[in-house]
Amino acid sequence: MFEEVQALGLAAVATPFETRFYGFDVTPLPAEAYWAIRGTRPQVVTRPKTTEEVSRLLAWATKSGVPVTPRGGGTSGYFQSVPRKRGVVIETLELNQVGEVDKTNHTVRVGAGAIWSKIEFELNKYGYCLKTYPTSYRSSTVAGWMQTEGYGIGSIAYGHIKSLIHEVEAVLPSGEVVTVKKGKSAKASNGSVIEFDDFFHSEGMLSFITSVVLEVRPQPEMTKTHLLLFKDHAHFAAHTETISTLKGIYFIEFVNGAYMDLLVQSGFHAPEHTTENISVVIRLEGTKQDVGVGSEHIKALLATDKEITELPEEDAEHEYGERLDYFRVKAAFSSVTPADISVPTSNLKEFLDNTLKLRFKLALKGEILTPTLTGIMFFMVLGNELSFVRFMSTAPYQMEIILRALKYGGAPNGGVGLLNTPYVYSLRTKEVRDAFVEKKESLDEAWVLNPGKWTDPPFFLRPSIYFTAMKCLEPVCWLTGGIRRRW
Amino acid sequence: MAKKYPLLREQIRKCIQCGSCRVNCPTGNEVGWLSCTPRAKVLHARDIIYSRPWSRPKITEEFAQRVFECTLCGRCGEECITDIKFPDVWIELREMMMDAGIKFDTIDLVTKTIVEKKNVADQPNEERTVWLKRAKMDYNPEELEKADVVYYVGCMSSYYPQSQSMARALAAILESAGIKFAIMGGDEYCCGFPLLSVGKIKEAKELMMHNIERVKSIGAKVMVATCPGCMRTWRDEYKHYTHQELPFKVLHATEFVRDLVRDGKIKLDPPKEEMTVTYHDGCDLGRNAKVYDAPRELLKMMPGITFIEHPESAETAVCCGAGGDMLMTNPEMAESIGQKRAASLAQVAPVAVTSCPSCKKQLKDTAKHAGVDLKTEDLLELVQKQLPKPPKAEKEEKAE
Repeated sequence: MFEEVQALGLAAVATPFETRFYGFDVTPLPAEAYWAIRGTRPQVVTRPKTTEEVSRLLAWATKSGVPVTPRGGGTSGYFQSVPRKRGVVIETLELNQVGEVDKTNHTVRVGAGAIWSKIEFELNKYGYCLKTYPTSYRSSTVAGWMQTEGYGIGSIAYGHIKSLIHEVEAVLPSGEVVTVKKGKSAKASNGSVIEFDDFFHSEGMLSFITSVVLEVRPQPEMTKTHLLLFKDHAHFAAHTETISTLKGIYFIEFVNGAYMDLLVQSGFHAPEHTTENISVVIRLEGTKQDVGVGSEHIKALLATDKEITELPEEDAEHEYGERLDYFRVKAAFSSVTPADISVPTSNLKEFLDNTLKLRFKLALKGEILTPTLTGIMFFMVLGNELSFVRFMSTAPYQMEIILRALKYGGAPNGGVGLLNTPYVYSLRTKEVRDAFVEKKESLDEAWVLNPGKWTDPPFFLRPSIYFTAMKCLEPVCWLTGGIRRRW
Repeated sequence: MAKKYPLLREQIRKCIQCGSCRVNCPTGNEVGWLSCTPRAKVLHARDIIYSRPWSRPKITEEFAQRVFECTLCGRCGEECITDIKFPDVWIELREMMMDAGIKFDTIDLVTKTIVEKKNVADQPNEERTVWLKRAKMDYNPEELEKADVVYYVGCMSSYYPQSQSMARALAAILESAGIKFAIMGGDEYCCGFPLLSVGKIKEAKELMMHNIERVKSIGAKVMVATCPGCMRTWRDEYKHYTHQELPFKVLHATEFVRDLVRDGKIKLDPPKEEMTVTYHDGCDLGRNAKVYDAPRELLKMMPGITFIEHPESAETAVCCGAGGDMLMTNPEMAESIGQKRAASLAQVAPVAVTSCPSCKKQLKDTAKHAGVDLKTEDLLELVQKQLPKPPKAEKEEKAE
């Protein structure tokens, strides 16, 4: 296989040492868990530089029946970019061009493997900046985020990434290159059709994106950050609607005292009183007038509700500056396992009422993604991330949190990938699943693109097996102590 | 085995595999494959140290090769969200490679040279004062038995003609300020950093102990170095490895000279020709020693110099490729990294000023090889050019 990839004119590596690193993403699984999943180490890894190279590679893979897994920054956490049936990993990071800004349409063409922070660096040279970006901005890629999550920093102002993509260039499994504009579709030579919407949430299973036209914005005239303290989550939840609709609103993040407590134990700074309250970062961006009006509304809110406290702007800017660094809390611990969910903002209070009743101290950090949707990450501390028993001891808790989110109209975040496969019935309705499989069969008859994920999961991640196993594990958690108040 | 590497053992557990360290890693970007990124090296080291025996990877030459494909520029530490202590972690990892019996011919050679000759240049150590011959000084600093200021010249400025001018520049500046300084001459040993960076800790410690005793015997209050690597090793590593508090202050020459200019102890004349410059932060002086302000403040105090900041500067400055013994272990990669940095600097200004002899040489060489129109200047040499001429020299110059 290695020689065949090289014969296509692509640089490749195939030694066990080189390829082993492509069997990981950000989620630290102990070795025994890999045994259960199997097939995660690719046989060959390659890094194409052009669309033409991707096309040659996919045509060969389809003809030879070789599984192909696209990989961007490898930051998803749900194994979207980790192979399940070995084969070839195609790393997109060489497809990283950032074109000139089209100042008429406020757009820029970027390669699928362009990293968000690098795009921002280039845009700043033109006086432009990104509208939205993921919290993994420093190392994740455009196509990676498009195909998995799509909500992040700035979503409350500019919506899902889909609304900011104007055009997609992609290679189909047959090797055919298609270009699809927003709201349109393209017909492949075999008669199958790929819609614009198919490029989102498809997790590299339908096509291989090579570049996109992305909507951007001139750098804002003014920015201002506020840091407010609310006495508890119910207090904050009562004000989410007001805050979400502030003029100039760009970003809202909230953390609880337990999170700040973890942060302090990890050696980082937490502003005064934030370990006892819900602290909320509110970022306003836009024209001087909009930001001014937004700030005035916050002052009015403080005047009407005396139980809200505002912390100094210096602290607010500090907290905003660390918005991407969720996992700093791991610094003092061997491992931190997250449960990443989203719930309708209207159910936030009830969900947190219910979830925070779990028997251990839950650290959480959330973001109001849109006026109607809130994303929350819960952090659980582990004794040893390389210990299978320790690792598994958090799984039932993680499941419990996700099930509670589902109960309140929410869902696990981050797409399905492999690790959210047990929840696929909640994440994708039967109609959606059937339509996806039908589309996959029409575009990828040989099932070479990212196989073995939620459409064909490993035995232990099939929903019925997984939930049964978790139920059996619960007593083990209680016996081993699981994650109870470990800090 | 693991307990021998306390820092490595403690720090690699913090890694969350986010990959932030990969994006701006100079060698990671050159090689491309994950195995050469800090993220993967930490993951592999973690598995070597913490995995269960049945899943523990072995230390192989392939891995060691990747460990040494690193300029120790510290950019990964700057990007790390859990504040892993890079590049110190890399030094312990290199030590682990050496302890595992991994051999590199170039490393063996440099170790032998330093241990036997006490310098990296493979020259007799008594010849460290060659640079003094053209320094036009009223006294011989090697003969001063006691002094408040000791100048630690370092191997580069002692032996390499391209860097000797830096030593002479500092000597001229100190003389202009009326400061008498001592040097250790043949008693100056390599600072030990080249050995630390290849994991030869025991050998490095011996050099450190000798140097400390020698500076103590001079009774210096301040030790000044022109080489950022030497300065940082003295300031940060000596205490760590020898467990001794140094009874004198360690400064880089730019910090010392900045204070002299700021306090009016030296006056600077306008240069013959005005100059637009940018500043290249060497990794050892900048990111690793956190000396960002002194060179900039000095540049801004110099008449006739227009300073433009490069967009990738200070904490985000890009390595020139010469660090971490890369010129020894992988000259091709060092060259490629250097050519990219030279081209990037040339886009901002025609002159790149730096305060590191290795960076100066590397940028000069790689700019030339790449055909990049970039002049490289050392900051102290620029200052020297602007020192007021003594009346006699001025008269001679006019007569010419």
